[in-house]
Amino acid sequence: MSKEAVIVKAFIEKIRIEEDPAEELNEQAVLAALDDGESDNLAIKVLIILGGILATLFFLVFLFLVGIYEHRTAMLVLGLVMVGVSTLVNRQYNKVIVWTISVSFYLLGFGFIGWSLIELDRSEDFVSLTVFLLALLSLLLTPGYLLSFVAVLMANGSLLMLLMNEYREHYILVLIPLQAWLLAFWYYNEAGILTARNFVSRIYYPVRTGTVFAFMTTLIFIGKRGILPFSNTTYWLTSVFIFGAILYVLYNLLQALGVRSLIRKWSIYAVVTCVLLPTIYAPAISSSFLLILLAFHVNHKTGTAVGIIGLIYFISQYYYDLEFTLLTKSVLLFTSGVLFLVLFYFLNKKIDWK
Amino acid sequence: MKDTLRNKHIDLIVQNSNWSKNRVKGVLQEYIYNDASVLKKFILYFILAVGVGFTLAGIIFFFAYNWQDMHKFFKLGLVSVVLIATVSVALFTKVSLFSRHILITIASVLVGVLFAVFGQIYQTGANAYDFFLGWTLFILIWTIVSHFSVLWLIFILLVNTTLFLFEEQVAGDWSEILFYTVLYLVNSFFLLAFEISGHKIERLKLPGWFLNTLALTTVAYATVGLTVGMFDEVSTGYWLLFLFSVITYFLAVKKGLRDRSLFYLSLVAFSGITIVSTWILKEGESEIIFFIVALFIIVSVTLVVSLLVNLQKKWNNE
Repeated sequence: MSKEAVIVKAFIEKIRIEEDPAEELNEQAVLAALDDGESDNLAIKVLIILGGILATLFFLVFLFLVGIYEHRTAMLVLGLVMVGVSTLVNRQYNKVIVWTISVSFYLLGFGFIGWSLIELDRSEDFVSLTVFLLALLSLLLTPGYLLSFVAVLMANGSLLMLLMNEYREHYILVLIPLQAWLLAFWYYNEAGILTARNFVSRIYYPVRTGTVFAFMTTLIFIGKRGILPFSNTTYWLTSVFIFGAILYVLYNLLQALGVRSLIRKWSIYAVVTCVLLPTIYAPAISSSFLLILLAFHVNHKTGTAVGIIGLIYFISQYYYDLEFTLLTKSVLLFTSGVLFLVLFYFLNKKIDWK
Repeated sequence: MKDTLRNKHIDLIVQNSNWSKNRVKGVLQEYIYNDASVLKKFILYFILAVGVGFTLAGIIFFFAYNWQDMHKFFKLGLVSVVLIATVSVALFTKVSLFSRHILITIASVLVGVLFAVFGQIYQTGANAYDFFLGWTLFILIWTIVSHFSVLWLIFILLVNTTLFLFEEQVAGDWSEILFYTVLYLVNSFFLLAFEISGHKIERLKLPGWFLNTLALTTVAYATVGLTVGMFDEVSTGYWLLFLFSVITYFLAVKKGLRDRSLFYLSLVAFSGITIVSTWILKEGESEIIFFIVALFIIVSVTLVVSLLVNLQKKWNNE
């Protein structure tokens, strides 16, 4: 028996003691399923996705050099077939070669569909909408980790393209709170979604990680000044929704921390709101903070790491873009830094380290 | 059990049982999610990191501002006083080892600020390579003595910056391959030193994220050097870098197998695949070569991944 199986078996035996008589658990099936499934090692996943992207790029270069773009309809059909085959094959077989090839085929297929539709003189809106719907459809059909992850990013990318078209940019300010609340909902409903035992439960984890990356991609549009054609004073409403999400997460965190006293709870809410208020025109900062809180609470390491990188980047970008003199920036940073250090000193005294 | 039981296992149990939502919620909270003590620690360190980061950035910006009416002695004195105060607190007060490390790291950044102010007053330039060289040398002893991962990261960043600026400002006649070989050798020297000392003496072990970042950088230099160098006239220098890389890659594979870590193995494999693909591309004459490269990548990644998966299974069963 493998080490993993020993751990899971020990866990099942331990958990059985507190079991409800109405509960049933098929231990054999759980242990048998351990060896199946894609590897959950991060290095392997990255290797497959990078390999898939590189192979796809070279293959595309080849096809364009031999002039496939002259056969537009053939390209469209080929693209659809490739996306369809990779989605369905991924469902049937569980072999390493299938993981690698299906990721390459999937990306390549979307590349073909997009390109051929543009060549066929469809509008950019039509192309992004088609890619968006196809990505969603394949997400519902495939149970594979890597494909679902790529599908989420593809759906988000095409949605962003759709919004960046023709003066629809304001909707990005609506998309961000929507994604933030979706993320909070997704993180906190792990038990609910898994016990639904339907197709959504099968893709719970890849969708979670995919949404984290998708959210960060969307945030770049508001985190870096000049991508959107309007001033960042329009961002305050977005921020209000993000602050709401942060307070909701805080409520859950305080429960996990066992904070009962009402005074203490409200003073924590007040302090956090005060800290957040200066970032009201920079929702990318508060959004990364939200992601860190969420991901760390449920022990999702990828989410935490992405959130921290995002926070550092968006704060630096924010100060870089500020139109103050270096002196004003320095005073701002120094005072807030010292305030945080005082807060640290104060809290460090209060928390007892057993 | 928290480190070994993963979400995947809970997922499998849920799919093969009739557990209710609340039951799963309870199990997740107890066995997967971070508990109160970890959460408290994280929040505390988060506040500390933000505080230190903002304060330091504030100090740096303060001196970066072009002061007209502040006398140069006052300016230099101010940084020196802050620097001395930070080091004194680290040395002479009763604070924890971790706080000492943080304080020495802050002091190391302040050394850079001091040199920059000096450069600003006497117009020696803020991006001269000797500015960074001086900074690197003057924090060397603190870095070695404290052996703190964040400080080592800053130190290695400074070493690399110095090398890049040196190449730009002084060693203009270096060939590309020589430059990458130097970068590669310097970084792999540190990596090897950390790996060996950490393996021999438990106390000197540095955290995984730091070693992995360093390994990633080192392998990236070798890969870029070997692929870019291919398009120049291939010289002895090229084969020297090749030889060095083969030796360190061999060591990396050995380490990966010994420590049962797939990170080093995947890194070496990916670098190898990149180098071979570039070589195929360079040798090719017609457009069919792109097809061959794509095929080569798919086949080699598949082979490597199946090898890694089998290794993981084997280790798991022992």
